Amino acid sequence: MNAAKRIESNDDLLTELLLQLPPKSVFKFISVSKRWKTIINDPFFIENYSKRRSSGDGRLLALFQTKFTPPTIPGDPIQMNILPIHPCNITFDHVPKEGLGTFVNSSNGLILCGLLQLVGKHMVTMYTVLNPVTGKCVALPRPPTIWRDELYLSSFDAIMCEENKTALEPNYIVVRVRELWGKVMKIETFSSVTGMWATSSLKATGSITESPYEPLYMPPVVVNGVFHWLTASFELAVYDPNKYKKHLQLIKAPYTSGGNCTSVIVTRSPFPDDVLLYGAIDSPWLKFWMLEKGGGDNGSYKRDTTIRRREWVLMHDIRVECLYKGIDMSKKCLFLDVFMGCADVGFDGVVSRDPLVVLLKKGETWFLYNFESKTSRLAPYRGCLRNSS
Amino acid sequence: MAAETGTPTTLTLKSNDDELFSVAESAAILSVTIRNMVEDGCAGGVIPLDNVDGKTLASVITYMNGISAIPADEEKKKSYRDKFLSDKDFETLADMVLAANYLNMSCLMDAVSAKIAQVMEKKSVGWVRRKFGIENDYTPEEEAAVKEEHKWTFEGVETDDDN
Repeated sequence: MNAAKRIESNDDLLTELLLQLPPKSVFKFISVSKRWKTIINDPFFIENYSKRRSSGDGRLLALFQTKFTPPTIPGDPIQMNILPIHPCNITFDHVPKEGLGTFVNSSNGLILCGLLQLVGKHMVTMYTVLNPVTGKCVALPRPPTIWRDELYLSSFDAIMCEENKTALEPNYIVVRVRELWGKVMKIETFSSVTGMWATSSLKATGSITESPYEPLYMPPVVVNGVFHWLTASFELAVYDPNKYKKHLQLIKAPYTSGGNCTSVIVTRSPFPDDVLLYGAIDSPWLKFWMLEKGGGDNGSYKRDTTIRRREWVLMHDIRVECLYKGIDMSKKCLFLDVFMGCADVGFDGVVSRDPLVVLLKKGETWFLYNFESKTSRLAPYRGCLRNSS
Repeated sequence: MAAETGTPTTLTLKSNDDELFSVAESAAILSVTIRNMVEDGCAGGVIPLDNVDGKTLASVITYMNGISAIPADEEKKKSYRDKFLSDKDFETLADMVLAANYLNMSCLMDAVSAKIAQVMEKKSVGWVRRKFGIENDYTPEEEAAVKEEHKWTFEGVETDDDN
């Protein structure tokens, strides 16, 4: 038996070889034999593979669309920079001929893009889900509602990828807010399992907003499978599609001085704690609160009423200027900022939840602050930051 | 003893086709397998390496000597590894993967598998089957279905020359 044959018949050695291949070759070689297909499709392999491809400093944090594809050039691949610490370019294949539109949201390594298209008299968002590990695109069917206020409500669309282990068939849902009225939020959910859209109503624990025209404040943050919207009246609207399909838990945001509060961030600690954290730049302070689960059933945040403000516990309280002490503020990054418009320090993302590391921006300098070691460092990258949940 | 007189200890390695090689102990213990034998005190006479042939062992020893002569500088080590592997053909690389695995040399193992992956990357499925001696166990219908599912991977240039 020759050497290559001996390597091939040893699962460990073959796996080691396959782990070194670029995504396109790995998936091409599924057609070598049934055994190769079994090895490559193994969730353990995909998990290892994804870990290796996403460079050392961590997970997919944010995406930077560096090249926009106008719909007039069908099929032209778009390029994105991912991972702000170690930027790398990805070219996506099989882009729908109309194009991808713009970046909407991301979750667990999957990216949601939306393109506004005219259907009859209405503008409708057509969605594409991208997997940057494989470069694969999936175009979703047209959403059921064509009369919603696309320009405004599409900012609150979100994707939630449950387990991106079998990168070939990642399990995900896409949620779009159809309308908000009093205590009811109507949503449309696309599931990768059924391949279809479904409509449902979520009943909130209180009135969602006093301002029906601009009820939501920022794109939703999806952490540990749970959706978090921030409403214009500074409440978190929390939707857990796995546990409570009809429930929208409102939580009053911690008290800040209002006018000076320029930037907020929401996240949860990793499983099994899964504790809700809320950060705000309340000039001249940066504050981080946590919320105990308290009386919720099965140790969750579900209650019958809106959770009150005073249940938040202040964890960190730092003067903003201490955050960027020792950082060379002349190191500017090449970027086009379209998301946060503030000149002062602003939050832009959570890099790691254990220890808690957040991405902050001051002027044109981006830096990371680690709450455990209480240190900051520059985050050198370039691109156009749109979302970093 | 050698260590007391200051002369570096040398080990004698024997390949499975009975070739003998002398190598400095300091270089040879890059192999965890050999290091364990030395530590267990069973490296006194000739160390038989039943899974490695003379040609491959000679190559591995060249690598051991080369890499251990470089001080702790990852950049330089990497460029040595790249240069060392640059002229090796597919069959030689395959032999080296098996040797590195048997000798438990992770740095060589990683470098050689990366090199093989680099060779395979642009090759066709047919080339891979031929080189690894794999029988295609898909029916033509199954194979067409798998290829259709991963159609995007079959675009672009494939070069099937032998190296």
